[in-house]
Amino acid sequence: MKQTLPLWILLLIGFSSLYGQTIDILQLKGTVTDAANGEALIGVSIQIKGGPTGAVTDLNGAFSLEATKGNILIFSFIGYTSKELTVRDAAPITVQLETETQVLQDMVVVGYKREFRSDVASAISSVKSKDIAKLPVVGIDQALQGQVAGVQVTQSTGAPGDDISIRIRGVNTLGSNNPLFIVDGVPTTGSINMFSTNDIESIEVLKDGAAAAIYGARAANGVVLITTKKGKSGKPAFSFDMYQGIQQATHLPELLNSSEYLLIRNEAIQNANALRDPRRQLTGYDPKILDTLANNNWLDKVFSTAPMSRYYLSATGGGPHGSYYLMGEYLDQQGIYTGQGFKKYSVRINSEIGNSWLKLGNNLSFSVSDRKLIGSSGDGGGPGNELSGIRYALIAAPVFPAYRADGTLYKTSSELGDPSLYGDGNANPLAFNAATDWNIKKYRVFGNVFAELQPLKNLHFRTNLGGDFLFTNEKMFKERLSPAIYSPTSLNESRVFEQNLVWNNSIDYNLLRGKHKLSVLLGMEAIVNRTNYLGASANNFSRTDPLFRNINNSVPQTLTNVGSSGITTEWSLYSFFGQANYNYGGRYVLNASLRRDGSSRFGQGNRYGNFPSVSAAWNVSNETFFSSINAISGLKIRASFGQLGNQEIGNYPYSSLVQTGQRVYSFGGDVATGSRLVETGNSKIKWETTTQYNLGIDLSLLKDQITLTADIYQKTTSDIIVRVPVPQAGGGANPPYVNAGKVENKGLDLNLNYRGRFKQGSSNQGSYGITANLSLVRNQVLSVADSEPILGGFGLSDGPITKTEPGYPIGSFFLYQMQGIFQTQEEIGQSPFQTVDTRPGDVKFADLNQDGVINDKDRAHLGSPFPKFIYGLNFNAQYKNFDLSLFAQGVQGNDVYFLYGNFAYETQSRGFNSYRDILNRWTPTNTNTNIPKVSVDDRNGNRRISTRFLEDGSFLRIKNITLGYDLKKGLKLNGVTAARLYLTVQNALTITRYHGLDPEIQANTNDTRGYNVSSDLAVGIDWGTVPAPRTFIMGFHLDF
Amino acid sequence: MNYWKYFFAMSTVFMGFSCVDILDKEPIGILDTGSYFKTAHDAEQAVNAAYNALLFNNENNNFYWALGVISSDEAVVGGDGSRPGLTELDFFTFTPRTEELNDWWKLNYKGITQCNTVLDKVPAIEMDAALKSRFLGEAQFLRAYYYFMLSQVYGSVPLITTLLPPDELKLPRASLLEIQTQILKDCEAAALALPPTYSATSAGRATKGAAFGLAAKVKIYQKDWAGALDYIQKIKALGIYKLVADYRDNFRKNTQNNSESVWEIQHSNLQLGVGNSLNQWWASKKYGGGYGFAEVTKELVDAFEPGDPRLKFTVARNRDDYFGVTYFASFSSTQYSPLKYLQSDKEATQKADGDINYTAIRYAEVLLWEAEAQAALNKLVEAKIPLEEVRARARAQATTPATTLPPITLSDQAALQEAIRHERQVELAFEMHRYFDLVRWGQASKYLSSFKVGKHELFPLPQTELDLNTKLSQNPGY
Repeated sequence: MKQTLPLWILLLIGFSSLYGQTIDILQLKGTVTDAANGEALIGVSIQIKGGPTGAVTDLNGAFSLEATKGNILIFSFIGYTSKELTVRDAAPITVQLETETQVLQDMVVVGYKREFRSDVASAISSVKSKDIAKLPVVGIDQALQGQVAGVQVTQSTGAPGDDISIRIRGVNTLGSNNPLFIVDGVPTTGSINMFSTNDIESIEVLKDGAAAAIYGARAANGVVLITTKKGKSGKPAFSFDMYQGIQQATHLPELLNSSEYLLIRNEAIQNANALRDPRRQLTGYDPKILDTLANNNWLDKVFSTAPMSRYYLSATGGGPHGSYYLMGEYLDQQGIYTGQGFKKYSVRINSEIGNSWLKLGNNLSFSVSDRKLIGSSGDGGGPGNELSGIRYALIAAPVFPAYRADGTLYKTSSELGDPSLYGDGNANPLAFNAATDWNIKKYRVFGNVFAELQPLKNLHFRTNLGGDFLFTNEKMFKERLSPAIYSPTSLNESRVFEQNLVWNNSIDYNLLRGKHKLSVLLGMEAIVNRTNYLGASANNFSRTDPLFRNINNSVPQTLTNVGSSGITTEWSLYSFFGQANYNYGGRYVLNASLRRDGSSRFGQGNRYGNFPSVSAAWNVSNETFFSSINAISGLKIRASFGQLGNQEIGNYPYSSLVQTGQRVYSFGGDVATGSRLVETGNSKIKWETTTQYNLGIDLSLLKDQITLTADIYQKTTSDIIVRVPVPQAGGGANPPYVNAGKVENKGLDLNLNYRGRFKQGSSNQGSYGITANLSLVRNQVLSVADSEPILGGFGLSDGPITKTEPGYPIGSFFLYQMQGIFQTQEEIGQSPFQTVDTRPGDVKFADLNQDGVINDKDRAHLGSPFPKFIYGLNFNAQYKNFDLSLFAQGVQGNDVYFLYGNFAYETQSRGFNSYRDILNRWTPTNTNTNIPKVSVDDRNGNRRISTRFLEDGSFLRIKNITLGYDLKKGLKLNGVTAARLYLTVQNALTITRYHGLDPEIQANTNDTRGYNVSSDLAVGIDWGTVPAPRTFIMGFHLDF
Repeated sequence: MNYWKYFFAMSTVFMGFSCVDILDKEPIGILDTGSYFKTAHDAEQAVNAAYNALLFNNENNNFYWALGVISSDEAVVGGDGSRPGLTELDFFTFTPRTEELNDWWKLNYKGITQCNTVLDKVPAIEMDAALKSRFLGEAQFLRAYYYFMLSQVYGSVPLITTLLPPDELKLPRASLLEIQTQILKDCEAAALALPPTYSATSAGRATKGAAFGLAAKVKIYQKDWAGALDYIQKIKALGIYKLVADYRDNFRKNTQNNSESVWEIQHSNLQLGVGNSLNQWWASKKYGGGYGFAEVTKELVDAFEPGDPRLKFTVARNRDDYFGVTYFASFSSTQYSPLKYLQSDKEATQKADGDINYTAIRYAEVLLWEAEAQAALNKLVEAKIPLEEVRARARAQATTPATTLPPITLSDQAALQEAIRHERQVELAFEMHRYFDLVRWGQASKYLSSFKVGKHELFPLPQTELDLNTKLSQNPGY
């Protein structure tokens, strides 16, 4: 396989399908109705038997299709028995479908092929396009939120285009926990927010080991299979959708105003002076100066109402020998935090052409995203507090004026002099936004070409060549604000070209003998990834306006001012797999699979890993003895076992790497280069393996009005690959990856569905459905290498916040315990010793080891970032011309470390603002509080890492309420098959006791920097983030 | 039947089986330890990197200056407060969680690890024996110097003298004596291997004199006065060191690495990351983007004898010339700013990238050690000779030498010892020795009101390290 794939082949195949017409074509029209009540059935699939084309009924149950005489049409619809019909002439067809008792007769994508749901013995959840098409979300990742039991989707921040974390059935490992996405057969672990949600035909989440094992090496964290829409035969059908919306910040905290700020500051100075050396007393502020001071609400200044819009147009059509699907989408979301924004343009061409034995096709998408950034959480990338605007807005003192007398912006508070009043050189948030020009553009071509060959009726061969070409262009221009911030003015540009080529081949064979059904699949897959990075930087610019933000405009153009860098990395996978399914009489199902994966990331001896799986199911309701039980329309019991691998460990973990040519020193006035060990290798590193057992039940009651799916599982990951932080005395080279320990996830996934109808007499007025899902996961570390705990959350110099060790969940919070507030000096005397400077009003910490002294031995596992359970609730109703959907999602019982509490509930020696809650601080007269006395010196260590800042992170969020109105019935427009107007409120309401800006928290880079450890070791530490916006949307949908 | 259908299918499958070598992916553009350390050039590159942790550049976060200067009575913390740790160091409120103390720990062990890499890997390289011996000597000296600085700050620390695999890094603290013994051993070995001087293009590499100098300093810290005098004698016997006529030549770009330089940390102003950031950190906030982190105390200014020219060479006062501009008292909260290691903005185009070296061991200090050791042995006559040598140089630069800095004629041991200490204070002000001197003299609590005897002699070990290495114990009082 060569590194480049000729793009023109892809395009050629894409367009070739548009010419697939032959003679004798009949233009068929017809309608499909429910045999029981005569009601039009929407979304019935009509397929020409043996051919690739088909059509779908519209809102009136109508369809049109091109076919030739003698073609057999297959009408199928979920919950109804399929019907076949031979085409004789062009007369309109009316078809009535019977309700089927088995909802399970649904097709699902499993591994490298499609199967009937009833033949599936593993835990797979499906999301259909209709479930997500109505959610005006930006990306597919967001669309998954709350839809599937066992899947936790967390938005790191509310910034448009920001990362989203998806965890399937808990956190398995200390390395990467991202699931594997497979879009039309092409695997990717990268971001999937570039794909349009409108393009999705279905999403399958493979949760258990047996389902995912066929993807072996990278499937340990679960697999998300995404199938995009295919062309439908018939005359061209167009679909147009647009919406416009506004977003606003909610849940913003109240900060102190100037007079409150001054009051607290004076008190904090007074309290500090009481313990200070007489020569080092601080002076307070005369309240009279208030008249001369600014009174800014900085959050109001940086947050504003922001627009959002999307336009979508698609066309589908085709003849008996070919079909096409074309789509274009444009999305523009501006950030509620000034200066942030995300734009996306995408185009998709899916086409298929073929005859009875050969089919060629392609799925091809081209997308461009353009993201404007201002750091949206945390403390920036390192010393100097760079790049997080929200941080500056939260800490900026209200007395810090935004504008100078001449109307220009103050750059930093150091211009004002007094660091203890105005701040210590922190940026004016507005100036910071203006000085940051940070943009990431991504261009992505993602797709595949495939050929399917059917030489025999039962033999099916498929070859698939996929490519994912991602070009990222990042530009970061930082205009100097002060010697400490953005100095000197600099420009950093980088280009990353990542190409991922996949080639897989598979053969499957089906055998049907009486009640025995056997299918066998064999295949191979080769994946090659190559990433090319090129970067350039320049310092000092004489002009800084946007037109002059180029490397060439730096002055002077000398080596000392302009620099460049570049590197290439590669990895590859090579695999074989096989799968066998046996089905007896639709009652007993047995599946087995084996995959052997080789990865370039391991040393010679440890390259290959074998990943087997077995699953079995019993369709109890298909047994004869069951036919008499009417209340239960379907019952299936499933059990599975599977093993999976993980190789997300960097590209060359087996070797110790030396970095050469670094400028290290100077001798005789000239720069000298040197070489250093930067990576410590481990030649013994091998595959990490996850073993999962799953037991499930699918139950349908009352003619499928109620369906229930329940799964319990146990998942054990052993030989976990992780960089274990080593003592800093080791010299600071990145620590090696080791196979360190075991983690167990046990849990329960529950999905309950109810559907009903609104009736008036015997006529149907509409229908409604309720879906609820619930996931429980218990995560526990069973063992770690060398029985030494693994630490995480290094954002503060106070030491790590989390500790991972046997008996506790991954990244469990390891803290001092706050017992209360000391009220009297006597109480301090009687309590375990804290410090000599402990005074009434200080935090009382618990002496957990009961040695009479409060020291670092008194920390314990006092909180977990894992929720006790997560849940989603979906309600849909259709009544006459109206449709309503409501979607809520919740997380219950997790802890969040509110690290920003260091500012919110404290008075720093630097002039930073706090929450208004600090007005309830301890004073001799206000003793019934849990906020300690304020002081600019923290002599008692009140700010130490303790349960004081640990909060309940539970929340219930109404993510989406949509009300739609069907215009079609009222307007009777010619050629229009559907017209709908809708109103949506996103993030309508959040119920939480959490005090941060948003309870949805993932890990922050501040906690992992410099230690190169997994972000899952530091989940749920809140540095202050931009919250998810509340969005009001009005949209319009038209099919014609 | 169309047999070629099968042929098509099968041939594709076989093509798939033929790409088995795709798994061989060698690191691109990066060397691994197996392929490195083969040539003399590799050895030199590794040795060069062992110097890196000495730098006061932006990347290193080298807070030696804060420990020696801010914690002492020479300076108070100024600046914008953006480094709360500096305030803690000034006010003695630092804790195991103080970031600067963690940075300091990391930095020195980074240097030590690079020295250990050299000492482990270079012996096996086939190359010129003399050059190899010198490279090893440089690494031994540097390792000794890093351990010395660690011992000044933390007392005893884990002693690692070879490249250890990560799972063997959890070591308990060695005793202070073990650390000092290792330092002396390394200094002895380095002194044998290192040349007394280098050609101009290699200026700044460790020399025989530097190795003796560091050994002498350890002996001074051990109060082994006779041992210290032995090493001082060895330094003098090299015959290459003498005080320069102009005190300021030690702190000026074109006169660095002079005859007074025993061990000097090199900086270059090339904006390539090897420059001196003290040029920004210590410069007044009112001067070209300085941070003003160290502001000179009145106590230090008052410590200078009347007319001592070293005051104006060390401290900027109201209306003094300050790198081409006029200094005003408003430039600092104390009305004074430091001058050493700083330079004019015309010389250093990038503020944090100065090219003034740090004079880690000056011959003047060697002379003052000699005086201190002789005085401790009650050899007062012998003590006054080197003391006078240092004073005489300063006196010669005074406006009225006849009436300034008279020779010390004390004949009381304690009084002379006090005079020598005072001489160290003014001669070596802002050269990052003061705090450690006060501690070893047992005088810290006399000069520093917040200093707690029995606690602040040593700084706390960083909490992060204590957590990462459970075999470590904390210093008393923290």
